[in-house]
Amino acid sequence: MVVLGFIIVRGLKPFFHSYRETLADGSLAEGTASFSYFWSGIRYNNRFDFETHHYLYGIGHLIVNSLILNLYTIILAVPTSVLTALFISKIAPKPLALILKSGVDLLSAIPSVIFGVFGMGVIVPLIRAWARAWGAKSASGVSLLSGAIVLTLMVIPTVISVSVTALDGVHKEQMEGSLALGASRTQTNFKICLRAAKSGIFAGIILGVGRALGEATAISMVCGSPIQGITWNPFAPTVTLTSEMLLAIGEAVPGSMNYDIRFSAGMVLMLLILMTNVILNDVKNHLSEVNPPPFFIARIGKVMKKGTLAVISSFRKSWQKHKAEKEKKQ
Amino acid sequence: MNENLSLFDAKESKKIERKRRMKDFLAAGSTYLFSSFSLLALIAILVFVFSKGWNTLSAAFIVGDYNATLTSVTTNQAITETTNTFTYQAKDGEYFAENWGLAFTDSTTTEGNPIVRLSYVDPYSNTTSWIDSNTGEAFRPKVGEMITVVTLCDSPAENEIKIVSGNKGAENMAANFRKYNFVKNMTANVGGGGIRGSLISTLWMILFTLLFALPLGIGGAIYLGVYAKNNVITRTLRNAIDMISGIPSIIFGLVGGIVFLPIAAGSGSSGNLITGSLTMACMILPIIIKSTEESIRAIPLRQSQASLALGASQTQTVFKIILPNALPGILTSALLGVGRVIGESAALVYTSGTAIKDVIIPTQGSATLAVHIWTLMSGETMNYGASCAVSILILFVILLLSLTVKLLSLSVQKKQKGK
Amino acid sequence: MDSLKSEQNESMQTIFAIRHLNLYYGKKQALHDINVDLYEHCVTALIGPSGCGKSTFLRCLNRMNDLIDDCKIDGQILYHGTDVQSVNPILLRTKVGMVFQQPNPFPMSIYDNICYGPRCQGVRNRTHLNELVERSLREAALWDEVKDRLKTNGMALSGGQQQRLCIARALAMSPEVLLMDEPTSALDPISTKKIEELVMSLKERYTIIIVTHNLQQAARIADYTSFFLLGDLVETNKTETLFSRPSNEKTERYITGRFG
Repeated sequence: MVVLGFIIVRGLKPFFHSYRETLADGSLAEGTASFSYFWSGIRYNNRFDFETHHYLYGIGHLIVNSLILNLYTIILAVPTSVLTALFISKIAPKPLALILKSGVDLLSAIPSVIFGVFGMGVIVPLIRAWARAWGAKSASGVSLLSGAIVLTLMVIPTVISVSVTALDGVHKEQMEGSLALGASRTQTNFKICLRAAKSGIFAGIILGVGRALGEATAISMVCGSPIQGITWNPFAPTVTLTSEMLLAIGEAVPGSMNYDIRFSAGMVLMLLILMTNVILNDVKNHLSEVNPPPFFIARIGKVMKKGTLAVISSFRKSWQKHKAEKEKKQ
Repeated sequence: MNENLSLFDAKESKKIERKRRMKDFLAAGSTYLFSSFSLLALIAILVFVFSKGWNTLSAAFIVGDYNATLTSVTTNQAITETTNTFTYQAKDGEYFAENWGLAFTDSTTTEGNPIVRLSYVDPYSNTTSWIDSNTGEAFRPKVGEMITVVTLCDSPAENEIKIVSGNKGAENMAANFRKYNFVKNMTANVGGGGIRGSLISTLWMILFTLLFALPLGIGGAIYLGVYAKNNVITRTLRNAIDMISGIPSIIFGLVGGIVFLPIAAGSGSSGNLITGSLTMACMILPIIIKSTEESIRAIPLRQSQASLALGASQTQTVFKIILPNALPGILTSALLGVGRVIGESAALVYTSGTAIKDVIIPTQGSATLAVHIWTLMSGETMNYGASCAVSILILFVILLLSLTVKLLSLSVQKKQKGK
Repeated sequence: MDSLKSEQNESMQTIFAIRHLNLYYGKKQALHDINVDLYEHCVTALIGPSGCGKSTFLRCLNRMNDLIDDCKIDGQILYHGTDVQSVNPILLRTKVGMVFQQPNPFPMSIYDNICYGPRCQGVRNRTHLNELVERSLREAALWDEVKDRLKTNGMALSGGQQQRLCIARALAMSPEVLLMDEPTSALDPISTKKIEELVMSLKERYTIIIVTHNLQQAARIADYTSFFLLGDLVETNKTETLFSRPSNEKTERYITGRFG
């Protein structure tokens, strides 16, 4: 909580504190960062607006790009890890399952920089070749897709190990029940085990998404560094919140606007992760319960409705009281 | 009575069965496919890292300086014989100066700038008169040394002087060496690219991190495991600890930058080893607390009760019974923490700087091994050899750590079973 | 062995004929030379103390023991004269349904629970499935209780309802035989009574083989009763005969409560 407070205080500083800096063209700038441009802008280090005395740093595109990158990652990672987990837990013979499990453990122990190096050395050239073969434009393979693949590699160990635990916990009775109805092994695995373990699997996905959203080093290496813009094209380079925060950090002077605005971006990242977690947890609860509670947003709506009704009814009561008293007086 | 048996060979059921077999095969096949993909990814990473890094990895690489030492070389003698006395079968990309007995090749510095390296030095090459102008001792050129700039002339009278820069390519360098028989002076880059500095700063980082995190973590675990009552505060604390382990490292970097930088390094600095290790300590604190608390909880209640029954105070019990018994857990958590420190990059970029240094002072910023890789890879040109070599080191240490952790937990299990 | 000496009713047709059945878990023998005939449209109860092999025997009939790794079977189990070891276990299980001790509805809606088996066999027709759901639920005496909430999760039902859902699920496959492995041991008396009534009504159309711990239950619902002890089939007979004049001394001691 203290930490969160610190981040918020520091993250808001660029919007209130005035920075005096010499710009690249030699002119002197002094002012705060523009709050509206910060959210809506699609260019990170745009310029200094001399009319309003605002630095124009936009991170709107960074947020969207982060979400897009994560969407691609989820699309790649979820089937891979869920099916691998199913294989490890239910299909593979024991020695093979053990090998795979240790392999997954090993994969999860690899630091993200090494994933970055691997991505640069192997995945980026592969994507470049692929893009050429398809005739798609790509900035030497540094792209959204390479980022998503590297992230997938980093995320799957987490999702797999949590999913394996969930699948191992599926009651034997349910599998037997399915088999006794004349379902085959594979049908049982896919229809019963996956369904019974879905909330556990979803918990793993939540963890994975958290990790993917916060991943910085590897992404900054393989995703490129376009100055601006939102992209859906898997072959185009992209820039996310985390990679922008690391980008050219060595050149940013501590205490400058360029340095401090990164903390604001960090604050946004934190909020983004928090929000995704809340939403995904809500979905998970919805999945896991027999009588699912309404979604968070619906719950908020309910509380608000209740509150409004309470306020209205109290008003009405006091009004009636008032009226009654008035009548009494008369 | 055999009517019912028709089920087993009816055409319809066979058709259904075949369809089901097909579907099952596809579904089961997909799990095989995707699991092999996961395994393949791991193997690909290992193969890539080893194939690229193995050649670079050497003793000189590990203990060497990162920054090359500039050596200026002077000479006062021309080569003894001007005939083409040396022979050497130059490989592709190599250029041989027959009169000197030196071969050159194109290369890049650790910063990625083009430079010329010596690729072959004849045992009797015309370099006997070269002197290191700093020390006055003889300078014997070695393979792999970089030539930054060289001033060549036709005679000691310096009628014709040619200055050749190392970034103009090996072919040009060799041609000029062939043309001129006299070296006036030369600046060579000796060594460089080593990781000793980053290695030492990693070790410092580990030491400091454990120094900060272990007492705090163990204290917290003892509080949670022994003293804390199950109330709102404890539950909040536990939730907070769980939450911390889910926070991405770059956020820790930011927090470290905000909280620790002004305290330990002064504002305006981009961090030093102490701020970095304080940040890392925050990151590994949840691991330590959780693992230690688990091992505290695994201690049979009767042991601590026996100690209390013998008249020992709660504190005495903690230090004499609980802590020694929780030692394997503490060790495990420390090892996990070390693994985290070795692999961490994003948080340290913010809190301990990205500069790779050779002389490590804890109060100055310097890169650890992981940040070393990051710095190498985020430059203009990537140095795969060096970063993969460092990766091999990191992977090796992490593998060793996780193996130790596994063995440790196995031995603990055995011990508990034995009891 | 006394099993073959049981009084045979000529009008009854044999559905299962078990000949010299031996079953081993690894090296341990769990069933010793079982010989018995089971009749169509009857309720046959298997009784005996815990661990006597009655559940193991039941699981042999639809080859559920195949799923246990080191389980080995000797002898013949003839289903309509065909050895079950020679037929596809999946098809066998569609004809020989099973209900387990613990109600085990799948974590999906009541409707999907019942459609699960038919769907696995490739039935996709919506109206057909609707009919099937209603018919099965009616047969399992659950229709009136759940007809308004077919979309709710099967796990949300009470224990007795869950068990009846499991029975309905098995009935949806239109099996010939229903194996029940202590279907009421996890239920309260009222739910137990309902299940017992259900079993009585189902025997018109299905052959029911039920394992039970409860001797009164066997006496109430079964036409035939087999008594297992330590992996041996001690005695099989008409229920009233077995309970009033047991031919074996061990049976007598068990039903009079002197051991077990």
